[in-house]
Amino acid sequence: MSEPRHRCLFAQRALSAWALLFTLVACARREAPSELALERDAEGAARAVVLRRAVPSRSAPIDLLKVYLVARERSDLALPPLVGVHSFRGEDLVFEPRFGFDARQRYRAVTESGMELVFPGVERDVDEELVPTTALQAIHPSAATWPENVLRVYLHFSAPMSIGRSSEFVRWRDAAGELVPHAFLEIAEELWDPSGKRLTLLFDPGRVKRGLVPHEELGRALRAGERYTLEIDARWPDASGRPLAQGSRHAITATAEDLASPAMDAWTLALPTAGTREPLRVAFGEALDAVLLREWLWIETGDGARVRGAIALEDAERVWTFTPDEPWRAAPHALVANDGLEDICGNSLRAPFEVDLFERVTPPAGVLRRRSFEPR
Amino acid sequence: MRTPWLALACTALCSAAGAQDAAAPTQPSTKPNAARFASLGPLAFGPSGVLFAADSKAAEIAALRVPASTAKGLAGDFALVGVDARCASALGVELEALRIIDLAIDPATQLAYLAVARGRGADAQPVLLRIDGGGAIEALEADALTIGRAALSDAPSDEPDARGRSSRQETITDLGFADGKVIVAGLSNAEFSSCLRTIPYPFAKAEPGAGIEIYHGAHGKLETRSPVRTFLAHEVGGEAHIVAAYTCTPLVLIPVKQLAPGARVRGKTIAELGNRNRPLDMIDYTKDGKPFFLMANSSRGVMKIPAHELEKWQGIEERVDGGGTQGLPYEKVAKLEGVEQLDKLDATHGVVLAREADGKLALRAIVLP
Repeated sequence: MSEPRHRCLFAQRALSAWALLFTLVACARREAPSELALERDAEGAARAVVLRRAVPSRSAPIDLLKVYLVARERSDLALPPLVGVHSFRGEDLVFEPRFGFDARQRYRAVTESGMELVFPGVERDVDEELVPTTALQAIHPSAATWPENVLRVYLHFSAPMSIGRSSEFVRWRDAAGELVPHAFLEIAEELWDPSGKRLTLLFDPGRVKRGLVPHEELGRALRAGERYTLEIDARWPDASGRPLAQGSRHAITATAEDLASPAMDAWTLALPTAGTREPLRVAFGEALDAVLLREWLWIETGDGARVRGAIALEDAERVWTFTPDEPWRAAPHALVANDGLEDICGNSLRAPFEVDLFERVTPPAGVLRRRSFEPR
Repeated sequence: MRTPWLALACTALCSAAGAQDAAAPTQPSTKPNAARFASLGPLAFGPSGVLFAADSKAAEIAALRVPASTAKGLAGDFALVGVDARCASALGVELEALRIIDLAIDPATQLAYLAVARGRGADAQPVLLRIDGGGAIEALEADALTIGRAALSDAPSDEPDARGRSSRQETITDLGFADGKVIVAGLSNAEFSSCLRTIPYPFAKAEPGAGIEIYHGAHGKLETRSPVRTFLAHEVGGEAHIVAAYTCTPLVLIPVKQLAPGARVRGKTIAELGNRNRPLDMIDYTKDGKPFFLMANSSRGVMKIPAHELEKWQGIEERVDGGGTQGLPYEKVAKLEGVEQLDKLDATHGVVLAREADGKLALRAIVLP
């Protein structure tokens, strides 16, 4: 039985003259039954659900038409419909979801009268999109040996990753293959770069710090001389929900702790020849932070102008090279560092990671340090 | 002629618990000078009706004027099981593509606000949701509700013509309001910093939040640069303080008046609450005339900590041996399990986001212990 006729019968039984009159008018006006339709854009993506010939009705628009996500996992909860905007276009009721329809989801539109329409966000075969393509491209520090008080690890991916799930998919194992618990600081929102392709993991400073309670009980996550494995699980979903192309394991050997600040004066500079574009080569004698080396170390001319050029890191971040866009001039230059520049253990030019408060006073952050040189 | 309700663009409101649907006033979609949120949360309520929301990606703190509502707030027996699944459903995404970043209860209306990310990756859409006492979930227009923004001063002055955009970014881990100041804790994805920032409110132009280095002089003589994980504003001896919890889990008292831009402040460690632990969230409340803190932890459950006459506690200056605890005593609240977030509801109740035994995430009112 169609819904308008059902309504007419109901109204008669209610014996309400007003309702009878109203409904008769409604039925009389409705020459064709309502119809549920979908609007797609030129690319085939669903844009809006339309209930044709929706008026007149005594129900509020939000009750006339609801659209639900068809979740892949069934839930025993009565889940709410999508939030969005109901509007009228003539006699048609149009529902546009506030956040759009997602290409790889399915939706179910339901009307108050019981009509139903199930549709995909995009009208095409999406299975091929599920082929994993995202890969872990690099890990920093890139050396196979890390000081036992190493502070920070960068994971570089080829495409944006999902956020908030690293603790499920990154593992730190000792030589026996046992999981080292609580190795990394757990931060709900995680430390990603703006592109979502680089994750910063911090070995929990609470463990790394001398004198902190857990250090006494748990010790560092690394001990000098021991071998460890950083394990990346292939099931880690990227930002589109696909797993990684493959998992990976990276073997690391821990070396003695490094508690000293990098000393700019101790760096070795291999000077380029004036009039050429030979790289300036700076050897630190230890690995510095791969990200900060690209932001907090640069070249200036004698008058303080920054020299344009390309930075490269070599020898597992122990060497920084700078190739200028224009040939070097035979004039004084300066290698300039923000003193927040750190080695891989968090020791900055300004201060070691572990500071004895009663003996040292550190100057404020962001002070620039310079070392002069002149191309040969 | 269309009746007036037909013309109404109807609502971003939906029923989550079978509550009667009601049309909510539609917010204007744009507002002059209202920047768009690049990310949203954590949240903290400030002066009446003002909600502060961190935008980590923009390195800004926004002040929002929350819209009036006729809906009833959360009552003492409120429970919404599967709150994450319900929010995901309302936003049209699978559960795994929804992240709840923070919970805040409006002290004036007892309505719950959730900062969520809709999507998995860095381009997830930031959404501000409001949940009423009937469990109805409403998606608010956070951009249009913004009445001010303040930048966090993090841009190093030493990059005059650096190429491209910096890949360094700070994630704001907690937000609070005390003594007329928004207090911000964050953690960088590159250089190690464990500073707090303060921003006077109302926001003044060109007055970015300045960093303050906090030291809590426990652990022998060594300064600890462990990051602040969660904090609350609390009055001690008639003065505004913040009580900051660090990983592994010292509790540190810092006078707000010392939080001047550029200052180096040494906090007083008033408790060591045990290791292998990450403090998650913290509130203060009064019961039977006595002040307490309630702290949710990653592995040590919910702690009830008496906060009476904190000014009389000696700071812990010696190493705490054997993985033990020291300073303020605490009591584990056994009946509160799986608590991930906390906020105050009224004088006698709190609200928790807690993982239930069956794995579902619930938004529940609790009686303060």
